[in-house]
Amino acid sequence: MNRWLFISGMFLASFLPRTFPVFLLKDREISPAVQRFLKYIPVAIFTALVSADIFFWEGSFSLDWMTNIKLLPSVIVLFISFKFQNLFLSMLAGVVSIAILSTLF
Amino acid sequence: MLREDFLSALRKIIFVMLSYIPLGVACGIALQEAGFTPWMSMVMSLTAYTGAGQFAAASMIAQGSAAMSILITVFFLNLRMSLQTSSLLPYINHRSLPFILVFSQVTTDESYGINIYEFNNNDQWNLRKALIASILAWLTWSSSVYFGAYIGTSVEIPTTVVNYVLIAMFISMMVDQLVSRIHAVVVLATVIFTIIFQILLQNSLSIVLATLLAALLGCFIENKFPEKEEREND
Repeated sequence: MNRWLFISGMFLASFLPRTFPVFLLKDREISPAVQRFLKYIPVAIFTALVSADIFFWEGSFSLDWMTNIKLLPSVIVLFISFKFQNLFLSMLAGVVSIAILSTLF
Repeated sequence: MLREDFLSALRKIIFVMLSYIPLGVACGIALQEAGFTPWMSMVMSLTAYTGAGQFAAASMIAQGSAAMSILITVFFLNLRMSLQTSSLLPYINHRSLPFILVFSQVTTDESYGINIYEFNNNDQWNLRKALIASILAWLTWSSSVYFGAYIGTSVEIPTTVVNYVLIAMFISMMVDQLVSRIHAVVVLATVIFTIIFQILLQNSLSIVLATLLAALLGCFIENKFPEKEEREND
């Protein structure tokens, strides 16, 4: 992979979403239908990114919490996130739990 | 005066800057493990400026995903910034296009959060402070990533753990977004769709497809059952 080309792609994948409202909208607003759709994108994409990762271990779907050590920490992170609403704390809890589990299993 | 504006902006953004440091360092380490040099990581941070996106890219590269697939995922990850920028437009629309572009470029979740709050609640807040605050956060992020990538070579962290930093972050961000029952339904739908698509497709396109489908579902439900919006808090 040409990494500089990739970085340019990353720039576009970030700059375009940031700036297209500026060009498209000017004095108008995004249509209500599009706004409705965009509203659910963040929660969906975060969930998708997590699900595509944590429910799979070594390529296959796995709900075995002793083999797939991503499952239990995720439950912990979920709980911590709801309770404390603190990004850093959640990440810390997650990393600590998976580090512990990876030495146990 | 510039000095007062600077101090005022700094006061508001300092906690964001402090939280960016460990996050940025972790991201830099992940990027380094994905094959990016410190210099590359810094340029990426300055130009793309997306914690979630950069973490995702590092993780997906390490898993061998195709570049286009990763970029599309990052694009969808960044779509929420369209909402952010368009809600900031009323405050910056009167300025020149270069200013608006620069301002948009340094806007991300946290600086957006600070700015939109200050614009709405603080009549001392002005564009110069907003821009300074955003730039401070942007520079802190980029330097932290550079530093992380720099020390990445001397730090040996198992890949499972490094990848999991990203997952933990996304879980936390997902919970942050759970503001209504429809959002909860979208989450459940996304989990199911993602698992199905991932088993069928075995690649990261599953993420984009599941996201689109679930967001459409949310849109559809909201359209059909508007009374379920009662708990939304924007």
